[in-house]
Amino acid sequence: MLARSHLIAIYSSIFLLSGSALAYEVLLMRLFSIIHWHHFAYLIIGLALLGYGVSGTLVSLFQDWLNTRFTTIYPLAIMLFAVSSLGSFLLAQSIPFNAEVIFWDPWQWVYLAFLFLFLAIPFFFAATAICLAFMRFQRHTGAIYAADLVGAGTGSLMIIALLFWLAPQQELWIISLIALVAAAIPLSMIENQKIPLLLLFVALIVVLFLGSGLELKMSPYKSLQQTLQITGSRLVYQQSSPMGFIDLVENDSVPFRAASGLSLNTPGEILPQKALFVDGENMTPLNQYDGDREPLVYLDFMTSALPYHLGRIEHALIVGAGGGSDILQAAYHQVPDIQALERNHQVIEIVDQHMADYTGQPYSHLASKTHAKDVRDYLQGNEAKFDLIQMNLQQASASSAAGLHAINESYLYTKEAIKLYRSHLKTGGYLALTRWVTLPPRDIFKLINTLVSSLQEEGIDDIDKRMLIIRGWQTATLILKQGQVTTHEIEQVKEFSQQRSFDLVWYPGINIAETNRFNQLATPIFYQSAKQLLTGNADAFVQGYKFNLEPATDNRPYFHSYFKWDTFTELLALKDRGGMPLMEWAYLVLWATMIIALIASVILILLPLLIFNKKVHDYTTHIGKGSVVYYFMAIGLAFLMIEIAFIQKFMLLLHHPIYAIAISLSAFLVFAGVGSQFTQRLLSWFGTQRLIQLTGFSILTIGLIYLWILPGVFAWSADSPIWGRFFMAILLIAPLAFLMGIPFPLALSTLTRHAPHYIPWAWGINGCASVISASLSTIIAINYGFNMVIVIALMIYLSITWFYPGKQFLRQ
Amino acid sequence: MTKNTVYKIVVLLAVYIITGQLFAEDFSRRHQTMIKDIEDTVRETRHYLDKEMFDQRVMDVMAKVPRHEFVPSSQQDNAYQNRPLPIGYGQTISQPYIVALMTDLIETRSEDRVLEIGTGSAYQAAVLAELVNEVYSIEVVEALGEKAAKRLQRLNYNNVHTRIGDGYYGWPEQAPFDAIVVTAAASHVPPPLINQLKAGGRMVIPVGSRFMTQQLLLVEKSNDGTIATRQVMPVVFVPLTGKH
Repeated sequence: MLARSHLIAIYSSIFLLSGSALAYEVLLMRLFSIIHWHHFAYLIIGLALLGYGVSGTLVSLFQDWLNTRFTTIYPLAIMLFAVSSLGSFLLAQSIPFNAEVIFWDPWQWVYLAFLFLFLAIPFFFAATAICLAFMRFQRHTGAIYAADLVGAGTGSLMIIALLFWLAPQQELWIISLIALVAAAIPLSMIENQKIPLLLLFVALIVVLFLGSGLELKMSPYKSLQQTLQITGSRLVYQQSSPMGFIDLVENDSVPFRAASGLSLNTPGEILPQKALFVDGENMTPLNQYDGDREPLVYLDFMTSALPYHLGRIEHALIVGAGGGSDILQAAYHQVPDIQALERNHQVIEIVDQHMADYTGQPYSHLASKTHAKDVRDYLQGNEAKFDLIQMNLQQASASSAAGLHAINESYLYTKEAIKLYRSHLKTGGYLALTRWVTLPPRDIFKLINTLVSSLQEEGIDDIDKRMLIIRGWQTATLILKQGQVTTHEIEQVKEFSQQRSFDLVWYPGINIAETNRFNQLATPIFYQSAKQLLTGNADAFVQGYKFNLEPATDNRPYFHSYFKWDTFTELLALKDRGGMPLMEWAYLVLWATMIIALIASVILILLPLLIFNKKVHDYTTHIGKGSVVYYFMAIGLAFLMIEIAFIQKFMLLLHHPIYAIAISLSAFLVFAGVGSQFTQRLLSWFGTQRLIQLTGFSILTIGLIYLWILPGVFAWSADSPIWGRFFMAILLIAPLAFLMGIPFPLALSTLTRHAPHYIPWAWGINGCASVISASLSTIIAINYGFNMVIVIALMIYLSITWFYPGKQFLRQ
Repeated sequence: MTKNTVYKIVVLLAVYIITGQLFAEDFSRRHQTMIKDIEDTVRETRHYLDKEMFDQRVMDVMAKVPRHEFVPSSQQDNAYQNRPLPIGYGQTISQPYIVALMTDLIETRSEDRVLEIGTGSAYQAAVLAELVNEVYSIEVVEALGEKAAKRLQRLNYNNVHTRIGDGYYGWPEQAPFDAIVVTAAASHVPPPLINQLKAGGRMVIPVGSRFMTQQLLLVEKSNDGTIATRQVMPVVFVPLTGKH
C-alpha cells in the first residue's frame, strides 16, 4: 500500500511537470513565431510531440529495468526536461533554417529534421517521466491522468497570461525552474537523497547559466531584421504580449516611407514615419502628424481613398487601424464621425500614449471613439450603421499577427462576415475592401466570389450593379454598395482613377476599352474575370481557374488558401522558372509534415515495439493487439481533432485568437482531467461496457447538438461582456471535455488488470496519433471545413465502443 | 631555404594551380549550364514576354560575368544554380533568370547611364556595367555597400560608382538616367526616382520577397513625360484552363 504522502508527491509533481511541458509547447509556438514564421512554428511543435510517442516505446522496451529504478529515473527525467527545454531551444534557434528556400535547397530539409529532433528531446524526457508514473502507479492511473491534464490546462493558461508581463525568452527560464520543482518533490520518497540532490543542484546551475544570457535569434529574412541592418535604424521600444512581440524602430538618416498602393502621380511627400513590427513582421507605420491636414494629401492618392470620393461620408468604421494611417486618411477627408477598431490594445497604447507627441494621438484626437476589438465582435454587439466600413489590409494584417493561429485562419472575409458588414451599412453605404494585387490574380477574385455567394444567399441578384473595383500596380480596392451604383458615382470612380493612373476593373456598364490602361498586364484579366464572376457563369469560371477561388466561410475560414492539386505539377515544373511564389508552400509543408509524422511515428514508435518488445509477444492475454492499436490511436486522433476544431468554433464567440486558444485549450484539458479523475467512480456505477457506450454516445450527441446550436448561442451572447463569454465557453466545453477524459484511463484500467505490458504501447500509439492529428485536422479543415473535422472525430469516438480492448472482459 | 621547404612550396603551388584550374573549369561548365537554362526558360516564356529570346547582348554578359565572384565562399558551389542565394545581412543575390529579365526589360544601350537602388552583392551592377557607359549604385546597408565597392574594384568594374545611403532620393547630381533598376524592397515607387528618369527611360522594380519575385513592375516614361507601368510576371503561367 502506497503512503498517501507519496501519492500526493507524485500527483503534485505530475501536475507541475505537465503544466510546464504544455506551457513549453505553447511558448515554443510564440518563440518560433518570432524567430521564424507562425505556420512553421505550429508544424515544428506538432512534430516535436513525437517525443511523447518515442518515450512510450522506450519505457515499453525497458520497463522492468526502469520500473525498479523509478525513484531515481523519474526525477532524473524531469531534471533532463528542465535542462533540455532550454538547451534544445538554444540549439534549435542556431540552425540556419529558412522556410522560403525549402524547395530550392535540399539542406533545408536536413535543418528541419534537426529542428524536430532537438525540440522532441524535452518532450521525450517529460513524457518518459509521466509514462513511468503510469507504469509505477497502475492502480491510480485515473488520478495521474487527471493531474496530467489539469496541470497541462493550468500551464497553458498561465503561460499565456504571463506573456503580458514577461518576454517569451524569460518565460522559458521560469518553465525550467518549475520543472526543477517538479523534480524535487518526489525526492522526499527516496531514503538516500545525496546524489539526486547533487544532480538537482547541477541542473539548477545549468538552467541558471543557460537562461541568464538567452536571447532570441530572429531569422535575418524577417522584415525587422532587414530594417535593423539599415544604417541609422535603432530599436526605440519593445513590448511583449500574447498577441505578439512588438518592436518600434526609428531611423533619422533613412526615414521610413510606407505608403502601399500609392499612385505614381502623388503630389507632395510622405510624412516621416516610425515603424512598428509585430513578431518581427507586418510593419505598420506610425506617422508624424502635427495636426496640419495638408501634408496628408498623399493618403488621397491610394486606391483605398476611393470611397471618400463617391459620396459624403458622415460615419466611418475603420477596421484594423494599426499605426493610424487609415484614421488619418478619413480625417483628411473630413469625416465627422470616425470609429476606429484595433484589436491589439497595446498597439493603440503605443500609438496614442508612448508616441503621443509624434503621432498626434490619432485614436484619441481624430477618432470619435476607439474600440480595442475585433470587427465581428464589435459589430455583433451593437446596432450602429455606417456610411463606410473601411478594411485596408495593411493595418488589419499587422494587428492580426497573433502567431498562435494554425494556418492563417481568417474570419474577416467569410460569407458570414460579409453578411454582418452589410447589415451595418446605411442605405447607400459602402463596404470598402483593399487587398494586395497578386499575379496571377487570386485575392480579389476570391473576394468577389465570396461577396457574390454571400449576397446570393440573401436573395440579391443585381450584385454586378452594386460593385466598383479599381486597381493600382500594388493594391486593388473593391467597393460593395448598399444599393445600386449611380451614374454620379461612376463618373467619380472614372475621375478618381484617371487622376491617379489607377485602372478600372469593374463598374456597371464598363467597356473593355476602359480597362488595363495604366498598369498594363499581358491581358485585361482583372476585368475579364470580374465580368465572368459577376455576370457570367461564376461556377464554371471558379472550376476552370487554376487557383482555388471557392468562397471562404466560417466553417472553412481559409481565405488565403488558393491551392489546387490539379495545378501543383505544373507549378512544380516551373519552380526554377519564376513559378516558386505560386507554390503555396505552407500548405504543401503541412502535407509533408503529416507524412513525415506518419513515417517517423512508425519508425520510432511502432517498429521498435514490434521488433524488440518480446514481452508483449510472450505475454498471455486475450486482449487483441489490433484493438489496443485502434482504440488508442482513435482517441489520440479524435481528442485533438475536437480540441482544434472547437478552438476555431470558439473564435466566433471570443473573437480573439489568444482568448480562444487559452480558454478552450485549458478548459478542454482541465475538464478532461476531471473526467479521468471520475472514471473509477463512474466505473463502479456503470461497469466498463455501459460506461464506454455511454461515453461514446454522449460525446456524439453533445458534439452534434453543438454543431447545430453553437451559431445561435454565439449570436445570442454577442453583446455579453467578455467575462460572460469566457464563462459561456467554459460551460459549453466542460461536459464534452469531461466525457473525452474518460476513454483513456478507462482502457488503461482494463489493461492494468489484464495486460499491463500494453500500457507503454497505449501511450506510444496515443502520442503518435496526436502528432498526426494536428496536421490532419488542418488538412481536413482546409478542404472540407471544421464541421467535417468534428463529425469525423465524433464518429471515431462512437467507433471505440465497438473496438474497446478486451471486450470479452466487459461482461465479467 | 632548405630543400624540404622548396619541395613543399612546389607541391603546394602545383596543388593550387591544378585545383584552381579544376575549379575554374567546373565553374565554367556550370556557368554554361546556367545560361542554357535561362535560354530554355525564355523560349518557353516567349508568348508571354512577346519575344523569342532576351537581347543577345544581355545573354552574352550573363555568360561573361562570373557569378561565383559575387557570392560568399560558403555559397560558391551553388553560384551557378538558377536560384537566389543568401549573401549575408538578410540580403540575397537575385536569381540569374530574374537578373537577365530585369536587364532585358530596361533595354539598355552602350551610351546609357543607369541608376541602381540596392547594390547588394553588386552582381546586377556588374551585369549592367558590361552593357552601359556608367552605372551609379546606392546601397543602404553600410557593410554590404563597402564589400560591394571593394569587389567591383577588384574585378575592375571601373564604370560602376557606388555610394552608401538612402536610395529614395536617387542620385540627383548625376541625374537624369536612361534607366533605373530598383533591387531593394519598395513600398511604393519613389517620386524622386521618376523625376530622375529621362524621357523615354525605363525603371524596373521587383515585387515579392527576398527569395521569391512575384512580378516585375516596369515603369516607362514617354517622351512627353507621361508615366505608364507594365506588370510582368516572371513565369509563363496561364491561370485559366479554358473550360469555362
